[in-house]
Amino acid sequence: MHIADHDILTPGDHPDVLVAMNPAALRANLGDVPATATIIVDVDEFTGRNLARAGYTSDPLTDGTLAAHEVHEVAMTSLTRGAVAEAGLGKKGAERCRNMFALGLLFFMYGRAAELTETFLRAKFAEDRGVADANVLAFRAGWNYGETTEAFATVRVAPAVLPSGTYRQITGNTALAYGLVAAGERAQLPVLFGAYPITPASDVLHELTKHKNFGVLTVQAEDEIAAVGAALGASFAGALGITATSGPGLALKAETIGLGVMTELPLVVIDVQRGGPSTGLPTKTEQADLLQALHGRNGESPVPVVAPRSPADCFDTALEAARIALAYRTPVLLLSDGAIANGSEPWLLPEIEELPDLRVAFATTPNTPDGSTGFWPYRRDPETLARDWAVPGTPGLAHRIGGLEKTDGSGEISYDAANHDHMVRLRRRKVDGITVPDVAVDDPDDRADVLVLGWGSTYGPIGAACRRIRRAGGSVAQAHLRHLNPLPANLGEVLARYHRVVLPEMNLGQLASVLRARYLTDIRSVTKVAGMPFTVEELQAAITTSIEEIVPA
Amino acid sequence: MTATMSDGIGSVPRSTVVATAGDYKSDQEVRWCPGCGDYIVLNTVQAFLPTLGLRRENLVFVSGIGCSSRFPYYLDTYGMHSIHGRAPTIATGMAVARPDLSVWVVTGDGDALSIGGNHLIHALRRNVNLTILLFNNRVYGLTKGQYSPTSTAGTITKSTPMGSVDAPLDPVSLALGAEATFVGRALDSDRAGLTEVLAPPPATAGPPWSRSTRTARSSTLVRSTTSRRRTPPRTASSGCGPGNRSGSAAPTSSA
Ligand SMILES: Cc1ncc(C[n+]2csc(CCOP(=O)(O)OP(=O)(O)O)c2C)c(N)n1
Ligand code: SF4
Ligand SMILES: [Mg+2]
Repeated sequence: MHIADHDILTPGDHPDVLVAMNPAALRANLGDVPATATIIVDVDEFTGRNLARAGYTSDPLTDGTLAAHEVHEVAMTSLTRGAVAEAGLGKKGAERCRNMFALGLLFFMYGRAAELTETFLRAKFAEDRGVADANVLAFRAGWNYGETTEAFATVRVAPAVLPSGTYRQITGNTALAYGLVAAGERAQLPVLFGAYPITPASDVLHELTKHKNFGVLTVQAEDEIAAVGAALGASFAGALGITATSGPGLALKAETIGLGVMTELPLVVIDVQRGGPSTGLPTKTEQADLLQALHGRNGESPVPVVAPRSPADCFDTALEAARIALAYRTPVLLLSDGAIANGSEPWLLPEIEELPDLRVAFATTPNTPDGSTGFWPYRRDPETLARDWAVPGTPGLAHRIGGLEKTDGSGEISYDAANHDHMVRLRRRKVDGITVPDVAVDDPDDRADVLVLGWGSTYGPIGAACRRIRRAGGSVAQAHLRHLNPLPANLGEVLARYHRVVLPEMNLGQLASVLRARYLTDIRSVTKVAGMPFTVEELQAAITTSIEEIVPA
Repeated sequence: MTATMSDGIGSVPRSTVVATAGDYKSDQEVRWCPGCGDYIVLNTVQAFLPTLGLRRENLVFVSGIGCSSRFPYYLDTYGMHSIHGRAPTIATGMAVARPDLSVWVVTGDGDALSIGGNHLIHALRRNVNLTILLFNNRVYGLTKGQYSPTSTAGTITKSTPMGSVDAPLDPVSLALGAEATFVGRALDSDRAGLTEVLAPPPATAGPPWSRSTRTARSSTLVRSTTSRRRTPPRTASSGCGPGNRSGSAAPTSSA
């Protein structure tokens, strides 16, 4: 748990307090705990048997292992049992409430208000009065223990100053699901979500199954190919087709995404990235599917790519993906990752009416150049190059489209060399011409020589590292990309403005290689593929090195 | 899946004007080899569709890749010529999103039983509102005559010069095994039989061909053996490939 008087960017590298409920937990987490940290243990659990099970040959509480720390041995199990006795649970049930005892103690230490948590517990266990009572009793007992023993230092964390409104805690996958529901609402279209279960994307499917009332249909398909096929078919039929998967599933969807590029139909494809290649590290995070997203199809097959930077940002990014897909009639790839998917943060609930208007106009009348009957499926809006979209059920506009190359305008199959050259370039031009906002640069004192550029979930650790550097008197600029294709129009100019661009990525430098090729500019790649996000310390060190090379300290 | 189970074509709007076979002909030149059985299936379907009395704009034909999968181009309905083996997936999305559409899949023995075998069985067992027409010529026609999952053992083709060794799949057994709600088969030389299997079967055709139960859908699996292919090709040159195509009317594309 991370508490601060400002917005929080990462779960934090190192805790100030570790609560170890048993020897195994102590052993697993001690490596992350700095010497300055306080350690609280449930001493009831430190029995010879549990110590041996955790692999301890001697008791870390007495053998000096924790000598550097302030250690509190609290008999949490027995204290909890006593505290909840009146709730009438059995021994097992009573002991299960120890975590609430620990939470109550931490609430005392950090001066957190107890009311909300008690209300939450009462609501969560509303079905079982005894369990609800026991949890609240244990929580209060923990608090009282802290207060009466006077053994614990207390810390006050002032409330953060944030825009006013209603907040809730949200994970990236839930925010994605809500964003997709909102996209259907704002487009006034039914949403068809096709998926085949895969970690860490499955929760998007689970969440969306609950929203049939918003016109969301879910299809659990026989595989990823079928999932994206159903989504594309639904789009042809006039719905917003969406699919979500992880890296291995994206590989399977490639051919159908290509069909979406060729048929120029809206389609949102979400890849919640995990460690690869192959089955890789299903539960660990990575950003190594960027090049697969950009290029992983046969032929020249340009696809817009967007990436959320935090759990709550998934909501807005999902809407943005839907906007591009609908307005330009194209598959869009959204790259989330395991850290964002399962991470959570407070989210300010938006006003639905203030979200972007995603409505599209279907073709309803003949559009042939001579104005007579019939429909030309590849007639385009001259500005966006989006083709006219007529949906089945519209009289007089029946047409056939497919994966074969076709004549621009009429959509007739064409093997003509010049037409193919024209169409390949046109599909690219359409994607290149998508309007995306300029990238914003955070350069508070306007003196920075070094720009730290990022995309996706590295936003948290990069932001926290930049804050630390600035607090220590250093200057550094930060910019974060949501749009990876097309890139913001001002990006070349932004990169040229700084002596050095540092680009941390959880891969071997994929975006760096794209930017080097595109802008002929050097980029300093900082890479990590350990299945874990960068720590703030790691990035602080890497960025500081870059700054010091230019401005010797 | 949260979609309601299908109710056949009962939810598809009916036309107030009487259509003709001609209304279902597109302006595209039909490009199969002269004598190919696919012509007869096309003509039969074009003559049959008006008898359904549905609004033409509410019909969608989806195909995969193969000679047979060129079918949607020749019908003046909405259509998609998709990718090899995947038509049932795309059709599933259409049918789930739009219960007011009559969605048809046109596929070949390679398309449906080889690359798309998995999709086929799941489309059948899932009972989404689809009709699947499988043109079984026991060969990969478009790619110039390799043996297919329905070729009998010993079939000699360019890819099996000593004769194929694997046992063939029976599409009807497969469809019955997947518990398709209606399975029929006919020969392309038998126009009446073809028309009969296209018609909604009596069990699902209660007025107006709709029921609210699971069995109410019509999933027609037509096994059409081209007259030229009634016996499996025995030599490479008798296969359904260029060696067997006559003259300029042969398909000009491969996929
Ligand atoms: C992914 C993919 N693999 C292979 C092909 C090449 N291919 C096109 S059609 C076909 C076989 C078609 O056989 P069938 O479905 O029996 O159709 P027919 O031509 O006999 O009607 C193959 C292998 C392709 N288009 N796409
Ligand atoms: S190759 Fe065979 S299936 Fe294809 S058009 Fe010719 S005869 Fe028909
Ligand atoms: Mg065949």
